[in-house]
Amino acid sequence: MSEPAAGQAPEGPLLELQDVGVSFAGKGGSGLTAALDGVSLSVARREIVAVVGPSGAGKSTLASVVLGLHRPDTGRAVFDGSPLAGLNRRQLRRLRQRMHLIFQDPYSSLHPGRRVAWLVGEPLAVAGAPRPQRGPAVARALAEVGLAPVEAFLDRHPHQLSGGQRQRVALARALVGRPDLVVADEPASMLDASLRAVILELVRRLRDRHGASVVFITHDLALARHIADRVVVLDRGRIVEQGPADEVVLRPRHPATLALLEASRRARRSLHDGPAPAS
Amino acid sequence: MSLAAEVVEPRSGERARRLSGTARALGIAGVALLGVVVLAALGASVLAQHPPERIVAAPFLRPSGQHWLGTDDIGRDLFAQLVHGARVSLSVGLGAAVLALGAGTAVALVAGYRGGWWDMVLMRLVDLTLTLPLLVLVLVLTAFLGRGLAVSTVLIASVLWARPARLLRSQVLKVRRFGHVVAAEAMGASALRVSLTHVLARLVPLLSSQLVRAATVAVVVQAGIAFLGLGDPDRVSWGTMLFFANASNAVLTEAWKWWVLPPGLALAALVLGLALAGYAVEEWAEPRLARNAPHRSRRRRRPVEEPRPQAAGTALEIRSLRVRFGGTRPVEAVGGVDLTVRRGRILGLAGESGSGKSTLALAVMGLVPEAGRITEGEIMFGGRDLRRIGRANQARVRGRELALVPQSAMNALNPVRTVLAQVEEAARLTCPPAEARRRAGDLLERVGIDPRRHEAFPHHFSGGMRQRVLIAMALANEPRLIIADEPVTGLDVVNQVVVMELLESLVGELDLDLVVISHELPLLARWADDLAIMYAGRVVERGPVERLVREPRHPYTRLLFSSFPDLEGPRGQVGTVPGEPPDPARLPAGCAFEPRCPCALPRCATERPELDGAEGTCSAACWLAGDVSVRTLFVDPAGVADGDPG
Amino acid sequence: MRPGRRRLRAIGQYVVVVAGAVVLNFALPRLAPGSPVDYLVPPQAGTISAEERVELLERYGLDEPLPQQFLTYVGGLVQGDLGVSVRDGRPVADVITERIGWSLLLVGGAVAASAALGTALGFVAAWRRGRAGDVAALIAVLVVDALPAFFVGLLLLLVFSVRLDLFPLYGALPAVGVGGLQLVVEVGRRLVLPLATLTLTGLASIFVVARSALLSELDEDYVFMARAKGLDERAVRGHAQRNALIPISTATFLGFSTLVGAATVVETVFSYPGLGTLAFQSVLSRDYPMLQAVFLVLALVAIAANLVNDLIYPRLDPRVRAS
Repeated sequence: MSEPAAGQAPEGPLLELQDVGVSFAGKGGSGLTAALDGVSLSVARREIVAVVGPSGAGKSTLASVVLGLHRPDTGRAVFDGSPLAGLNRRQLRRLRQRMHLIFQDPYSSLHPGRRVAWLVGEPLAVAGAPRPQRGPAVARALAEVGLAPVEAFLDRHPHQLSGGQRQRVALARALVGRPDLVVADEPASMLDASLRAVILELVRRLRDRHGASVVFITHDLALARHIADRVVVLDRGRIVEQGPADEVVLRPRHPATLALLEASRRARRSLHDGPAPAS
Repeated sequence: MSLAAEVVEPRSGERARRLSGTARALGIAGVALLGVVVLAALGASVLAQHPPERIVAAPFLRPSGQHWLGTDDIGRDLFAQLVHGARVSLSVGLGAAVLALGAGTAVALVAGYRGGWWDMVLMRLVDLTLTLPLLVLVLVLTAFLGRGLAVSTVLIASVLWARPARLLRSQVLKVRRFGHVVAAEAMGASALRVSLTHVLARLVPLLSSQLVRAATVAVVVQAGIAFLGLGDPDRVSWGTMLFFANASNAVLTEAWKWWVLPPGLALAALVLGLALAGYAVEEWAEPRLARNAPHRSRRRRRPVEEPRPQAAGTALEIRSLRVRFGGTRPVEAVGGVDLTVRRGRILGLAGESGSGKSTLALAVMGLVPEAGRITEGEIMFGGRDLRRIGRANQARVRGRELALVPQSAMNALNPVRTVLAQVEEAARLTCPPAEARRRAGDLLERVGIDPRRHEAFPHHFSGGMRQRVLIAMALANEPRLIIADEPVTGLDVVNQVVVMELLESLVGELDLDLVVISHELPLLARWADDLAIMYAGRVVERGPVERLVREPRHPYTRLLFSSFPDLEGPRGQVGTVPGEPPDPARLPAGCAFEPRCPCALPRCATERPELDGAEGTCSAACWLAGDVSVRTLFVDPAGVADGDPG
Repeated sequence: MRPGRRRLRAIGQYVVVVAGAVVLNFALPRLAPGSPVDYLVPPQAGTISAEERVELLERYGLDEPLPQQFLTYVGGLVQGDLGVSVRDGRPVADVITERIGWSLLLVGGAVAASAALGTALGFVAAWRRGRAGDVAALIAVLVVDALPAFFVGLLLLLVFSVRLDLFPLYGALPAVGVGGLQLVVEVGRRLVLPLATLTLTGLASIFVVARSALLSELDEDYVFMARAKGLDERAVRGHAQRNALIPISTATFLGFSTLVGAATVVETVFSYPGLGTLAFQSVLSRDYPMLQAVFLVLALVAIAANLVNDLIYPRLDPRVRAS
């Protein structure tokens, strides 16, 4: 699953974090607390990597480092061969145009005063695509996320859409710029189950049809296992375990992963020991 | 600070803005007053027969046909001064406000967006300007730097910019964390693009209300300076008129009627017009202000006939309950629900957002929001119908017999009181003060909070710990039934287990009954004894957990089950419920799930199915539920997930 | 942040603000059009000769380099030397000491009265939001606020002093010396009208803050929770109002500076012998050193009010208290 598609793959991983450390001023002024501590991680092209861990493990800090929104205090982040630290503002922005961030709550990422056509076209506008080129690309992206007929949606504002439709608009934004890397920060944790599937479907589609790599951040082991090729377990700012999804989730070796698995088993019960799927 | 935590939901602005009747009326009155002043300013040369600054007659004349308001102490026409004064006030007000807002916005964007040293330096400047007494500062500046109208306008603006700058900056800091702004930054948009297209647009409401406010202050300050004798010597304004009136002791003579009153009232009309218009603008900018207080109807229609007595062995019996929300699009959030909590069993109430599960809980608590009303049904608890016992008694039941663990643990505690004080306050409903304190301490300890932290404030606790405090609070008066609304949403899985285990152990220890509401079906399947699933305001399936999980009968339940990924089952199998939830204001006539149902019959579109079994057994509201042959038609989750949408 | 560091930072901010006021005061006559000497000559002196001009420059040290002048100026301030009035040659500091008490009495009283009244009205309006009581209070407050302070003062003067003859026309003290209780009564009678005028001026801003602060607290989950845990309506109100007091307290102390400004015109209307009337007289008689000193002292009063707010704030809101 994780090997790059034949023929079109350039050399090397798409993203590499080398010994990244980030610390914040601690509460009460008592020195620094480490949010990330010596984190090394590489994401291959066309790979879906899930980052799991309890709250406070440093998952979201990792996302901001990957996107270049936060400069690490130690170590470095390298995207497609270029170290982010060596770039100036402008170059960093150019690089970010090849990435996309999907939010925990995708509704909030839509500007309430703008129409769907503008919203979906924004990544293209930011990347400097001329206006005439944007229209068809926007239409393609909307059709791909299942908003049809496209004309019926282009002129609507977010508040004129249902929850599921807003969700799909947010997803069309992820597709339209053909990003090389998508970072999804707890994208399903606040959603209803029936909408969660839409996210999962998109993440797969981004990889399968568009060749993107995905960093998927979640505290839900079951979700991580279903979506990702590889699972990375973060605990108190350190990577404690990583490997193929089934390996890490079903046969964990580190106590932190075991504790997560144990909690997941105890918090929830499988709904699938009912009737066997017919096929 | 984590990225996810920084992204905040914009609270207002997404809903359509609509003014309350009061704001609309005040706004119209304000615009009318402003209109009069503007007309006077525009038509000043036509209205006034004399030039305002020239001596045209003897001093101190009484009003006459020649001079409608008489003349001042050197013989200038007062009426001419009055109408021409409108020009001065309007131009200074508007000019200073625009200048001040322009500067304020620029400062706010740079300080709020660039941060760092820029922020440091600019905000110190704002502090300085804001701290100095405004009128005195303008007075001193005018005394030294000149009193011409243009200079005055600039000087007033140079003092006025600071307040909008500070307000706008904190708005910029807030807007910066809105999802769409973070998204644009993550997309690689330039700072200029982000601040102009994303940040500035969200400042418009605040900008417009601050513009009106700045204009108001500018008019008042200009008048005050002129009243103190520092008006433009070449342009008579209302303040100057009052300065001369005061200097000539007009108040002591009859001249106050035509010399003091007209300019004073003119100023008041302009300021009031601005203030009223500003009130409407502010409400438009902050829709929260428009909400009305609840209109409590004293005569509540109570059901006439005596209810059937509560069934034995039940903690709570809800019978055909309906809750309706009024307004322009009436919505029946709960549409005829029958539900029973059996003694000694935990009921799990599941459903997606908008299914009516939280409204149901609020109805039982007697806390249906202002716009809503229970239209029908019975809530049997403790042998009586909670709907019939009156508001006062309902409040007595709350907290004492029936307790709620609310949805948002992060904000449900008062930030300025210690957790101990808040639990104690609840316990005092049934305990004498000294005992209440001891009891509160015991309860906090019972839910696992270190006694050394009992006197700490809520912001010192994590989400999981706050949830425990709320559980302690719910237990304060030994209630018989606890309703926990999404008690673990937002907690990570480790904390979810801790909180659920705590609830479960309390049920056993204290002989409580418990209802857990959640959208996480696998969680309820693990912790509840009975399960009820709601869709579009109705219960579509219910029954003992074991049976229901093994053999779900409603198509919605089956599809919902398939959409939860299984921790240890085969990989890659996550299903979905096709289509969109129905518009609650326009529910289909038949089964509400019919438009999304993969095996709907013609009958489903017209006839609404009812739950088909008795309480305590497995029952589903579906015409197909009894038909075994269709059960396997659509349960292939993998097939559902792989299909293209639409 | 640790309490020590926070305190240090706050002190730093105040040093900056005070320094700003001092620098502004020093710079104004030097930035103003013409020579600084123009602002030191009594207007009745008419034009002065070139020799006199040089003599004045030397006497006031205005021929020295700017940094030297600034040091001299600050040195004087530290010793309480605020210059000499060009009108009557008295030391400015003496005149200000005579007058500042009356201003503090008037402004302090008005701040307290408008805060109490505005908060009470604002809370009542918020609890009855959208109903007749709210609308009536709102319109009344907006109308009162729209009337300029000096106009309100003139009207009160007209009605209560000229027509009804209830209160004296001007001043703060009776002309004939009285003592004891009689003195208190007489001072009180002269204080009523200016105090009422200034209170009405400060009322609206507190009312608006109180109303909207309470409305926003009512939306908070903890208020819902207070109701859900079975508290009676009075206790629920207590929860919301306690939190609404935080922004109200800030508005009150920041409003100090607004009322200090408004007091200038109100004192002028009632010829109340405070710093405001002094400022007005200085403007009329072009007594610039006096005007500058009044500005500096009033600025320090406003800064002190801010300082009090900063000290009180952590007591009201534990979230900013050190952990």
